[in-house]
Amino acid sequence: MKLRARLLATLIVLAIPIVAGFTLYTAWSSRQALVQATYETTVERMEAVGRERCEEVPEGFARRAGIRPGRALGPRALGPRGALGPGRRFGRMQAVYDDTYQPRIAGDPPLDPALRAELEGGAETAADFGDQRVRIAMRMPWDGPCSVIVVDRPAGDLAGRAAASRTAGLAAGVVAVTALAAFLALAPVVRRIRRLEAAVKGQASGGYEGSVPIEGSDEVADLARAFNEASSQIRLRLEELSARDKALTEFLQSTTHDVMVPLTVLQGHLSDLRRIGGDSEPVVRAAMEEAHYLASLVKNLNAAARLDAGEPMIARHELDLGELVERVVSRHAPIAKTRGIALNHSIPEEPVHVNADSTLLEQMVGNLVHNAIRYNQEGGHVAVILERGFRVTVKDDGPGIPEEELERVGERQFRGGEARQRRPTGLGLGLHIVRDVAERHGYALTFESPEEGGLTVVIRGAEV
Amino acid sequence: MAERILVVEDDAKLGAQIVEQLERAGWDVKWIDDGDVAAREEPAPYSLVILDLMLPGTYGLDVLKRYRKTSDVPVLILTARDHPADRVRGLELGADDYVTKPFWPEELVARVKARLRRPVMTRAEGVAVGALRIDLSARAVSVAGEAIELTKVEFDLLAELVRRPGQALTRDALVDRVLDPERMGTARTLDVHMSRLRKKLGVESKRIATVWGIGYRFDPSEDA
Repeated sequence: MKLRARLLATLIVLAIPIVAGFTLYTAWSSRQALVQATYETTVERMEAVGRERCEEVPEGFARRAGIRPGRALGPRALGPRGALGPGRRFGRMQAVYDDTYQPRIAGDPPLDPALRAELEGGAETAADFGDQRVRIAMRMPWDGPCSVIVVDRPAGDLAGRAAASRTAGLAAGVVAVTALAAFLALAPVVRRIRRLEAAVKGQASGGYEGSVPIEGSDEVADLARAFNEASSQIRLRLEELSARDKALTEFLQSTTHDVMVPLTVLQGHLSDLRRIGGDSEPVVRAAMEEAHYLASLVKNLNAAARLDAGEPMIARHELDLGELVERVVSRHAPIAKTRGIALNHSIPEEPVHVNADSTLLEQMVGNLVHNAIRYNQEGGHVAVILERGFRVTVKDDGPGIPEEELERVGERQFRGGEARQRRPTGLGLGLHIVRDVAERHGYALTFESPEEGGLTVVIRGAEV
Repeated sequence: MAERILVVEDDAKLGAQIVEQLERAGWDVKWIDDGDVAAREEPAPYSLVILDLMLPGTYGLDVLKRYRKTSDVPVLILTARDHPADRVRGLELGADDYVTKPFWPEELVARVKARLRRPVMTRAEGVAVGALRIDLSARAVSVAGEAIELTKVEFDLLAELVRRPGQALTRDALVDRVLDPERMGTARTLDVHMSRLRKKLGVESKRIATVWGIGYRFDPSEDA
């Protein structure tokens, strides 16, 4: 719920009971006032003359007082003219009862049971508020035959009715003005919160550089200050992390360089060994495979580091895929030859230009070719085909991957098939990089195990 | 006379090894292990330069820049820091190819050969290798002086392979280029034509190799 809406709802919820309560109280107190005024006037007049007359000659009193239904209480019944006061309104006296609530004048109706019960409960007055009139029963402060008097007053005498609706209107008005005031007071606050929100969003998307502006000295300003403190903490952590990341990347790169040179020398020696001892020496072949695997592992770790570092580390430029395929094949040809596997390739006559990260793409195709060689047997075949469009196909006639496992190829932890677990390390990372590089470049990657056996991997993408 | 190759590599063991490998392959090699010395070397007498990037003294790419001022000698870059930025920069400065460390000696030799390769035959006119003579413009083929009668498809098939000697061509590409599109030829049809072509070529049929998973390749070597 928005701030303004919440404020409005709160005001409404608070105002309704207040206005209602106030109205009810006004109505109640005006009824009380009417009853009390009637009582006081009646006692005063009865004490003056009425009581005596009533007790001595009730009929006469009644006649003079005009106690007949519908007749006004005559001024003479209750006292000398003038005691009422000019223009002062009074009610009609209805009946007079004694201590036991028997009518003083025979034939008068008995006292209304509800009023009687109230008086018997010890109340001084009891009233019945009808639509047209208010009937008030009063116990006089004396005993005797004229101790209970019932008077009717027109309902219009209830001064409170109009007052109550006036009060309700006033209360509603006050609430409306308050609401308006609150709205006006809230508007700049809401605007500032909006500005703060925009500033915070801008900062978060900008790597928490700089700070949000602090306006005023209230809670909104405190919030802005708190955010600035939090974001400076975040900035600090980010700087630490990126420094650590940079150091790690540099370490990895210099280590790579330091490892690659002796590894090249080692490969040279192994190649010499094979030349001297011949291809038939299994130890030399195994050692060559390990050296080749080691080189590919280090390159994959480097590629993984760059892929993990994300977009800024991936450099796209135009390159010829034909040259790339030839480089990959010439890199793996020696190891394929050592293993007795025929590695062939085919590229179109014209160059196939793509916009890609050459190192990552080369590593991707290299991993596919390397896997195809590693998991194949002596006498096996590997073919790398580049077609315009473009499409790179790497296929082998090795053990392949079972249908149900093809989906999962490329997950970092995944190693497919029993046959492929002969060398349990490395395949997971290599294929993960294949999948990751394809994803980053927007290339489609499919793994198929054709009926005739082996594994066929196809990379599809766009030429420049 | 053997072609001369300049090797610029600072690592003593690796440098010695490269020199030995290239000499064994039949080239005349000079080795420089310092960037400043390399920058002063005149590239003119060399057929190819192998240049390491991380050198003491002048940096490898600056050596390349310096050579490019006076020479178009093919330059093959050796690099261990396998970052695309280095490759792009190297190619921009005029490098012809690069080999990343670690590499097998065969790999390096193959790349040097690829850069030094000269066109061995006049492609537009024809091929003369072993006992095989192919005249492309006259569409005539002979083996050991005896003319061979080829159908149009058989000749086109042979011509396609000969046009790109040593390169494997896919069956799909050959179907597209050789077979009549009206007649819905398939790879099976192509294989039938190939089998007839080979029969007609007799002793020289071995020059057309079947390549697993791809198609066919024409082998131009003299001793095939």
